[in-house]
Amino acid sequence: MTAVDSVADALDRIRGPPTTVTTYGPERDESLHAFLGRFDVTLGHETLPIPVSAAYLTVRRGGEYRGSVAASAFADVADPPRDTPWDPAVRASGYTEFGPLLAGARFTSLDRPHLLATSREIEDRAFRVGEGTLYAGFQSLSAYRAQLPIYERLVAETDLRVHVYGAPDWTPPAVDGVSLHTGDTEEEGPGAEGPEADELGAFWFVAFGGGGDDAMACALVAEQVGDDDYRGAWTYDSALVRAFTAYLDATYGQEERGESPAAGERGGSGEHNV
Amino acid sequence: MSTWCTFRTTPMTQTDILSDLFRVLSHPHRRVVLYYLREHETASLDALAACVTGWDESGPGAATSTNPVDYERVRIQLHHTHLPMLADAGFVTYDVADEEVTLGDLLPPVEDVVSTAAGIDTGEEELDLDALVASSEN
Repeated sequence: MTAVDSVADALDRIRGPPTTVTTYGPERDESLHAFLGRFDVTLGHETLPIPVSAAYLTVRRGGEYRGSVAASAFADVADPPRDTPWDPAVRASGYTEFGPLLAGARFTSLDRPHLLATSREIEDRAFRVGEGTLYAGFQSLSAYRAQLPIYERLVAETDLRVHVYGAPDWTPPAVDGVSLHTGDTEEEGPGAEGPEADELGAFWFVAFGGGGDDAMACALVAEQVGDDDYRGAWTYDSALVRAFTAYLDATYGQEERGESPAAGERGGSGEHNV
Repeated sequence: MSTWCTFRTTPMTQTDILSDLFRVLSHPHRRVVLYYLREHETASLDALAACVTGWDESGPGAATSTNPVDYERVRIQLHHTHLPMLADAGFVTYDVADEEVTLGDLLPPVEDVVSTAAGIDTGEEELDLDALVASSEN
């Protein structure tokens, strides 16, 4: 994997094989199809003489069967729970079943509630592993404000290290274990110039390297294209996640701005600096 | 094997016919194939394998299937066992080279039994054994 050279580049590299989603049931579930239609997938419905409650869908990628989702999970798609990462409702949500199945498929239009639900899943993975580094790009630090209690608990109850990124439109309180990166070129490490500061404002991202467990690595990268409208993708490809977090470390530093002698060094996975 | 098809060489009694019918329909995957084809007429092997696997994992069969469902295993069994058996009975034609399956002409009593089975397999109806046997004897 060659080095990732921007957040946009990381997103560009999330490309899975063509995905086919087929729903089965007495009739199309329109809200489910509306959600799935936001992804770059071949979407179809096949009528079966079964009750609505027994409807299901299957996902195939590049000719391989990836899995299925039961009707009981469909309702969570329209309004996914997004309270806290460790909330049982979030963990039990049918929305989380779509994560692995739609990984690598681009979405052309998702709103904040859905991105938040997807972010929750990544944060929950980090919380469950309990070590390693979590990277969270909020676009602006004011968006981090509402998430502060969650991130305080993440670092308080685990050995996780957290890097938060965003334009400095709010000054968060210092939290031990949480490093803030504003893309401020005056004080950031070498390499943080011009476009890098802009990309922090343009992209919503959450990445977790797995804390030593590649199977737990995941990243969401989304570019804002409208008021409440994002395009992007998520991935469970650990090599790609590593390349992305190495880029973030190299560009914005591994420590609080201006404090890190290692800032600017490329190649660190971010998992070794805890 | 003895069959329910028009090419049988020995005379069959009503009981033989009924036994064959039930034999062919005894596996849930063969029944699901028929439910699917009655809606769609034709299907690729891959489409049927995905439909059947999902049916057992997350659909009407999820409540009763105990083992983890493996797509490749489902696909291989369809190809080697279930589709040939359905084809022998004349319920489907299976183009092995193209892996394409087409619904055959089901006789009215077979349609009745399949419809009844569909209602039970999908949880929409309770099993009424008397009605089932009576309908297949008509």
